[in-house]
Amino acid sequence: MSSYNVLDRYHPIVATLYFISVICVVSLNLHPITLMISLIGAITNGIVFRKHDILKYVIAGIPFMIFVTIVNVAFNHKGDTILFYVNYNPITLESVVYGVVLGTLYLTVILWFLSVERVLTSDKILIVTGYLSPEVSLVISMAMRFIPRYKAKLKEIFMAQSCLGNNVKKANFVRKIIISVNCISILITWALENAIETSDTMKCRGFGSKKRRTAYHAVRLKHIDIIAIILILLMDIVMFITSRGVWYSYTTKLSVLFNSRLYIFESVYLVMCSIPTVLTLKDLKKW
Amino acid sequence: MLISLILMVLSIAIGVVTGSRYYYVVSIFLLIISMALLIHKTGRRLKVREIVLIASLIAIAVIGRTAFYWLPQFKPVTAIVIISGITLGAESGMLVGMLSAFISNFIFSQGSWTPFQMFAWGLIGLISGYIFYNKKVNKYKLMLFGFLITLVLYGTILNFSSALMYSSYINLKVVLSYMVSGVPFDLIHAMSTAIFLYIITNPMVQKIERLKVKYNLMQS
Repeated sequence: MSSYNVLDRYHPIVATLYFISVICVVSLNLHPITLMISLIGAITNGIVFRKHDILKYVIAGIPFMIFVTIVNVAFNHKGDTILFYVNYNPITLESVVYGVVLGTLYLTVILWFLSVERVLTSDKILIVTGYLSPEVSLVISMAMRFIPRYKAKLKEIFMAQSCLGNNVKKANFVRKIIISVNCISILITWALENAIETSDTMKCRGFGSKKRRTAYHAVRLKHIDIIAIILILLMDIVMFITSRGVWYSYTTKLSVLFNSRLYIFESVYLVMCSIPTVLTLKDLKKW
Repeated sequence: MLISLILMVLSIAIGVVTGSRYYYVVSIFLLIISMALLIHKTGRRLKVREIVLIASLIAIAVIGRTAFYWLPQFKPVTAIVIISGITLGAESGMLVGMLSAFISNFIFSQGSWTPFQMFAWGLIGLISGYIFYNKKVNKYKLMLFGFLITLVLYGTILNFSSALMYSSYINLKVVLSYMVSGVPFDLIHAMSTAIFLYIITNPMVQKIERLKVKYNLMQS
């Protein structure tokens, strides 16, 4: 499978909104079916977006999932079905189930964030934050640019210092540290001076001379993006209305109700979770 | 700015008092929104030179974090945030803290901890700016301050956040259990902050103060 994914074709705001609503729904609604749908959706999306390394993260997440469960079992004594006592504290079936549910929630959220990382790369985040505040977006983008630049400069400084007889590779341990610290100090001095120079250049080219300036965007909000945003919001509204019918309880007695509103809610959520996977697979098949 | 800060604390407090999971998640969103507003408001006031200086400090913090990634929790970010708070003032320190958390998590990984990391580091920058800005800095006092604030503030917020997110309800015991499990990591983090402050305080402060005098920065 290639690294193509369908959300790349839309405006970053669409993807942001999509992930916010998916993660929001699952963390607000702990119905077992919702959780199952979300977990499966997270895994399939992860496989489509990130290829095979998703399994590694599933395995890595399991210890913390167990920890969450244990903490919940140890401190949550609500529930009617008592399994056994530890130090006069009842261990209830309900708290065990609730612990497993919360552990699964943890795993699900982590897995969703893996997809977020793949889809909402830093350049897209910049576009989204640009709407919030152009100055902050500028700070973020400059910092991003500075990182590789400083790394390259550090290499240069090390090379220059080795010509002066301060070769890191040939020095002993203490001297190595002294040379490294010295080089980093040089880098920081250079970086700060360079920042002032950059800002002067920016000022000369007219940055900040006018109160409000328009910014260039590489992507524009097209009709298809607006349609997608409306669709996602519509699904959110439907889920919000039907969510009152979704009843679950893990505290006093395990109970899960099934009614028509639940079915609507879950089917909408299923559609929502599976859209990127289905559309991506469809597109890949076409090609 | 104070109002937004109070809003942040209040949003978590509502979640704790009401005790329903629904409010925790709402409080996280309130936190994100109030932080966004705060960033927006602070960002508006920035001048060109401040923007670039802040960006370069953020880049240094992020590079520092990547350079020590092989030691868990051994990060110089807190030290650099404290120093930028001291030298550039509370608001710039806050911005450096929040944005270096945000940006360095692109390299590590974003997650539900990102807003809390941003909050914690932003708060550290803010507090250190309020306490030490425009004052003569004693290195050892600063080390103690860095150690304590990392251990208490950063550790508490981050451990509290995982308790908030992944626990059925909040009480002292649950939070404490998360705290205790997090203490070793927080201790390493606090130690690393003190060590980095010991190494970099004098040269960094000297460098930035020199720049401020040379280019007449942060005046007016």
